[in-house]
Amino acid sequence: MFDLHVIDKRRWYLLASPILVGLSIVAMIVSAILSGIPLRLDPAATGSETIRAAGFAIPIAAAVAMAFVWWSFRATPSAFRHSACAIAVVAHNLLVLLGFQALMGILAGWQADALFFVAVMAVIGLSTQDAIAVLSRVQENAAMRRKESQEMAITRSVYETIVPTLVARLCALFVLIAIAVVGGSTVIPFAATLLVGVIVETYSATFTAVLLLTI
Amino acid sequence: MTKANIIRLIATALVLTITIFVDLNVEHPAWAKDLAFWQPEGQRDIALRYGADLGGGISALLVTDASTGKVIDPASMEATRAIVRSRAQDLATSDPVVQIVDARHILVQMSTVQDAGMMSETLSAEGLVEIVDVGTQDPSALRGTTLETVPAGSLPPESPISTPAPSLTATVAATPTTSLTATLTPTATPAPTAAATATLTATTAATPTVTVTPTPVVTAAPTTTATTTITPTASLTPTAPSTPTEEMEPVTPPTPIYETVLTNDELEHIELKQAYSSEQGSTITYAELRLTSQGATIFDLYAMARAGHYLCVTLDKQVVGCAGLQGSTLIQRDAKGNPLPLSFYASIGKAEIAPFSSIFRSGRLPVPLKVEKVGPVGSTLGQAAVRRIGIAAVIGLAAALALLPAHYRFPGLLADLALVFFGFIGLALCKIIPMPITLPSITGFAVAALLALQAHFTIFERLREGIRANRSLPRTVKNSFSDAWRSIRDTHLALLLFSFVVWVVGAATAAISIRWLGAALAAGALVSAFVTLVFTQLLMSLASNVSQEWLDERKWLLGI
Repeated sequence: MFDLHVIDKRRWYLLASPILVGLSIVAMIVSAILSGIPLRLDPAATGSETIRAAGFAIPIAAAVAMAFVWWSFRATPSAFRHSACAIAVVAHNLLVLLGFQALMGILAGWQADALFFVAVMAVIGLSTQDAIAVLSRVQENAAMRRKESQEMAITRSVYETIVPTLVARLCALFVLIAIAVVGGSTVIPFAATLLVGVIVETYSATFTAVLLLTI
Repeated sequence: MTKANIIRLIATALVLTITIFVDLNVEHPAWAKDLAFWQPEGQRDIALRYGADLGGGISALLVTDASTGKVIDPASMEATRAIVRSRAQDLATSDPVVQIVDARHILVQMSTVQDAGMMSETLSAEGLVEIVDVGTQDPSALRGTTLETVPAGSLPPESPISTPAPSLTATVAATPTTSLTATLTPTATPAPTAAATATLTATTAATPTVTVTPTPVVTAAPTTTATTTITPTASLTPTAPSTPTEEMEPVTPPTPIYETVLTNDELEHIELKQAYSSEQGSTITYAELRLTSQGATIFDLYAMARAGHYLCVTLDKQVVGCAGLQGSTLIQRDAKGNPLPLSFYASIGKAEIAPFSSIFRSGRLPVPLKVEKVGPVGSTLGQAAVRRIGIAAVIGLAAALALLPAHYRFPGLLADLALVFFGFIGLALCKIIPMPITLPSITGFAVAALLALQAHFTIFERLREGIRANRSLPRTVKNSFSDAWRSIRDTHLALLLFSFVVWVVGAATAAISIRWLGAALAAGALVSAFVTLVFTQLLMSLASNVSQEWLDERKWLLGI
């Protein structure tokens, strides 16, 4: 048996997400006040095509992910809730990344270029797959242990998925930290965006997505 | 060995063989290159291509052509930059950098292209598209030539139809010292570009044979090459005895002037397409033009008035393709009244299809440009940065590869092997698709590699659970994969769907970085599924069957 620490302390786990999102929104507002735009763009290097593509791809990908999660969990009574949780995680990670970029724009003069949007898309891809992995596990455990409460199934799933997720993300972090440290100034924004994205999405997919199911 | 494992073994051996063959850093034989049938014919290759961000490329400095007298304001420079960027994107394998340097210069930096001359011409081409009336004669000889044109209505009304008899003047240079001047009135009406052979009957003993290049005073465009025998009524007065055969100096004819019926202003969209022609038994290229409503009206009026004429499509005055006008050649319209496209057979070489298509699609430059300077340029990230990224990636990957056996022991080693195999297959795919090695494509593969790792770890966690429950190793291995199947299927399908959206949006908005990210994610997701479900499952099944007792005695090797 697992202890229900995750469930008991869910308010604290869930509180981290609104704090992060709130800080991100504040950073974008400050950036908008200082430079007239929430996110400083690099017009020379980015080109309007990449921004437009990202602007289209993110909502479409989110809608497709939502539909897929709903389809995948259609056998469960809370299929729509599962897909809403997955989308909440994607939106959460997107906002945090935009806020991080806005903050670095204020502090270090970073400008969002094509690579920034590539990093955002990569993190959204990772978020979707992580959220689905955890939610799948919850559903699997709920089906295998019908007598267990939903809280127990969620706790079990978090413990079972956190190790493989953390080991996989550690591998990514090794490479990203090495690139951020050794790669030089031209790739630091790209590596840092991915680094922050991987950390935030690991947290949000493992905790935020599943704990939202219990509310 | 079970039937499923035999299939996995064959699939793994096949993929491994192809991967090694493709990854080998050698010049692959032509037959192997030809197997990549999805690549354009004549450009098929099995080689790594780098994007401008990592591999460097080419830089072109474009300057506005002041001689045209066009007003160059910031808005027109921005519009010009957008068109140049669109063309550069068509030619490049990664996002080009296109910047307005100052009031007159635009700088383009893009990945290396095979033909730098073609790149310069494509970027600086004006992109003026015209539909030109070339008269009633077969225009096949005009294809590929450059025409001089004037706006519709600028020529005398009869000129495109009537071809007056040209008045020919030829100077005969007699050998050794004879100088003859002959005025020839041909008995036939030669084409203006015809090379005519005239037999002259002179009042001297000499009967010179002269070659006459007629110089017609015409404004129309007869186009055939004809050989005409002319009997002139010339009076020749030799000043010295002449040899029997004398040659007349050719007189360069004035360039024919043709009438433009439509230009870019009346064209909504132009595209070069290819289709198989059963008549010719080969693939033909044709230009498909969609006219604006106004353009369609102009075309219809013209077609009715000039039945029997030929029209040619020109790009910057160069003839791309021609078609004849029949009395009934009117623009067809759809149910909403929108004009349907017109097709012109295009006789252009394969190498020209890509640049011509790009110029057609991007439209006409508001400000004419010239190429001031072209030269190689280092990677946009900087050579030093690329080297450092390489070192960092090796360090990070080494750490990751060390972590897996440290945490999962023997299965971790299998995950290492799977990761290496994933890398080799990914590299092979980059070569044969071909997908340029850029930061976005590497990112796409990295995300897919994480998916593969997570799938492996999900299986390994179930393996641990099974071994802790004292189940037999072969059964545990089998159950681990079947238990993890749903999670693996869903995560891979989700990533495939996501990559499809990214690729489609990237292609639709011409964002090369986003498109290659989508392509790499999709390719990586498929490789991840193969490596996890075929390669690793095969190795784990074999290991659990062959070394069951040995592994049972050493459970620490399985991470227990």
